[in-house]
Amino acid sequence: MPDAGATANSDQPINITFENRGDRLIGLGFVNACLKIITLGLYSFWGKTEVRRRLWSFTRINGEPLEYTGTGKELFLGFVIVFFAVLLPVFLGGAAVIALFGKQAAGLYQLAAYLLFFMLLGNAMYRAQRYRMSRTRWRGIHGSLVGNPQRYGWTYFWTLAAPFLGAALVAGIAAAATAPTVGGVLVMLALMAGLWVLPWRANTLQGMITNDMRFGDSSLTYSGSARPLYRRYLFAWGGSAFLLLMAATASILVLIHSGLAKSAIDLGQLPDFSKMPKDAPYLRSLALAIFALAGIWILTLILAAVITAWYRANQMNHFAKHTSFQEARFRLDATGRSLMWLAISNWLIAALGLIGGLVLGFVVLQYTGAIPDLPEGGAPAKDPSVLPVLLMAMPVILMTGVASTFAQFRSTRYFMSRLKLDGPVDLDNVLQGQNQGIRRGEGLAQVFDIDAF
Amino acid sequence: MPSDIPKTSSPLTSGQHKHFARFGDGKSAAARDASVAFQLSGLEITFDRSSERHLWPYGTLKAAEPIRNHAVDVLLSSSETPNATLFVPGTGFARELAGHASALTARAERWRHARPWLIGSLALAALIAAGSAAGFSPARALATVMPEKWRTKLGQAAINSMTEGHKRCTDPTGVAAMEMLTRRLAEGQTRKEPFRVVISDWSLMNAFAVPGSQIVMTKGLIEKAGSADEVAGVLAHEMGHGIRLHPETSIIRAVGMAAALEFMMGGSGGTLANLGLALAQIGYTRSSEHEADIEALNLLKAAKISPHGLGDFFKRVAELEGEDNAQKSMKPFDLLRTHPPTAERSEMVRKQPDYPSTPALDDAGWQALKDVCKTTVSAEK
Repeated sequence: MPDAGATANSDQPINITFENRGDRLIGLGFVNACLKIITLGLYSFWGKTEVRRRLWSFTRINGEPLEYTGTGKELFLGFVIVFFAVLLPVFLGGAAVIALFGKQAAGLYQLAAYLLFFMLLGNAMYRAQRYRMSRTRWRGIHGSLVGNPQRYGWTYFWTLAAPFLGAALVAGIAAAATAPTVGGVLVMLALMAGLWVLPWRANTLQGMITNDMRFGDSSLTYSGSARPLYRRYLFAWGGSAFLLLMAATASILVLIHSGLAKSAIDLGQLPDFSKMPKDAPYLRSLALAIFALAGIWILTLILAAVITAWYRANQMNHFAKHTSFQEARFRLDATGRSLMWLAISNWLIAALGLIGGLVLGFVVLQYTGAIPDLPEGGAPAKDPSVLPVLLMAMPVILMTGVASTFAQFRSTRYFMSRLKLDGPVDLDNVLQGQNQGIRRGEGLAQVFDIDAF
Repeated sequence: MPSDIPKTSSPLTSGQHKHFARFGDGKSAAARDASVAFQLSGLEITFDRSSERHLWPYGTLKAAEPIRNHAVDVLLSSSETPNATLFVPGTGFARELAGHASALTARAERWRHARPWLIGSLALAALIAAGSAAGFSPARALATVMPEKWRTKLGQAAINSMTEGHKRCTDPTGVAAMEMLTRRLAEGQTRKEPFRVVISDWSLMNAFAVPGSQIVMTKGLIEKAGSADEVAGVLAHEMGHGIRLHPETSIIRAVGMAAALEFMMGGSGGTLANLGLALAQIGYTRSSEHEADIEALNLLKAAKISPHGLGDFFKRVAELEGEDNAQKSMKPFDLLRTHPPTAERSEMVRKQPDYPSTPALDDAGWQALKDVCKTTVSAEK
């Protein structure tokens, strides 16, 4: 129906851009953090929503902005339901288990709780994505995700659980047949071999979710296969495995050297701290060892992100390349180097936010004199007070809030400014889709802190 | 080309200030050029060579992002025409719109969303203040209705976790002396709660009350005490905590606080992981220490044991604090840590009117208590 003013030819090239015009959301992060503090944290749902509205709006398709129509209230209600239906029961159950059966049972309970959360994770991610899609509009046409969250959630779970459980089982049987040390080595090898499932798994999941995506009444289609991913994966896998091995060796050396694992490396047998001497030099070496361990693993995580950056860039490009809308194909121009820099710089920003907050908090504490001064005897005689904790927490919430909003902006900018859609799209024939009637926000996914952008 | 949207608004025909816009009808993803003008009642949207016209009242408008002072364009929709969108490039339009529909500005939106929570937080703060002024504590109320069985179980778990790695002192005559002292003190309470005392083979000087009218006392405390009266004073103080349900209350309070914190942090507080920490950091407030002291003095008086033992013990603690920094203890429920300044407490004991009293234990009983760790067993699981 070519109305007056309408474009005659409806086959159009699509141009995706990210236009932030100098606004890097630092001010918004600051305002949101302030409001979060004075509303006891509850404003965060609305703050998060405003950040998304801005980020969506920065994203332009043919010069016109994407629109985020979700509300803070929806996110809040989604969270309230998950809080009372899942989190609170799990939490109170944990408290009861610790209180009634002691710490040993608590470990088991935590394991069970984490397993439950892991089983729900894929489902939660799908639902979150579905919510975001349904709240994304362009020219009034909204997106949707039409599949079954349970199906996705289940695939998400078993594609990871099955290979690792299988590998562990095989190693276990082999260990029982030969010797425990052989079993230990076999478990390591099996875990490393199990990692080979990851590219296939990522590709499968991406296909599932992409094929469920709709813009209006038109669907996106995914046609990628996992095979091309494996060539790059070899390097990422080998590098990670080597790194893991180095980190494990270094950790064991630290453990032995510090006396933390004095009685040999009895796996699963934690040293009995209560029987150890509590004199100062011993405590110092213990603290040193713990710092060393934390350092080793933080470094390992950073290096792993660096090593796998090329693979991850390749995987993202692969996903985009095999996603099409009508006749047009997506294209992502992610590179290992830029992705690595994005990850490292965002870490630095997060770390700076945290350190800045702590320093600021310390200054505030000093200035207000709220630091409980050590009394004559060494044992603080003062009342334990929440005031210093609050005074410390506020600047930390403020600074980390600013940092995380800025980092979120940078990630979104990275992807949106590198995403292209090649080929014409017949926009006249993209009609409004059905409303799925999703009334509440992301629920569980918020708890897991999963955010696409 | 849609991608070549003019970045500025231009006055169109007939003197009336019209802004260039792109209109999407919400039925398909196509859009067309339109003109938009501010009218008294709302935004008027018109099209070239078409009689189609929309009037979107200002009150029905929604902006895709809150309008800020330096906004360069605006994406609008209205409940008047569902799903339709109007994209208006140009700073002038945004500024003018903010004048007509101030509810769309960032400031107005934030205030609208934050206001209920601000009022709620203030109301909550007022409620808590009023509650604490009236002496009402939800945690204490819950502690009172907690079944006896749970309290005992909770207490046993607490004893096990806190005395982990230390044996129990079980010399029969020593234990009998402690039981006798406990019974003598327990006579004076109105609730007639039977108290159970566990003596731990631990050189740290400490005593703590746990749920279910149970008390742990360390070898270190008995050894360093100068007399049975001092031990009786400390015991009476811990029984005071038990009578007032302080251990139960503080555990409930810690769990409740952690849950509330989890809620406020949007569930990312990681309470599950910190649960152990939360339970371990239970401490008493100064006012509950004062309450326990008062209960202790009543118990001592009813049992006809001199209150000066408690005063002497406070003095001893003060001396130890002064001389022995290395003795700094690292355990929760620490008798020395959260208590009111010892001088203040000694003063309170000193002010007690004298009453006729007999020693807490006879010499043989005191000697037996001091030797209670002659025989020990490892703590039952």
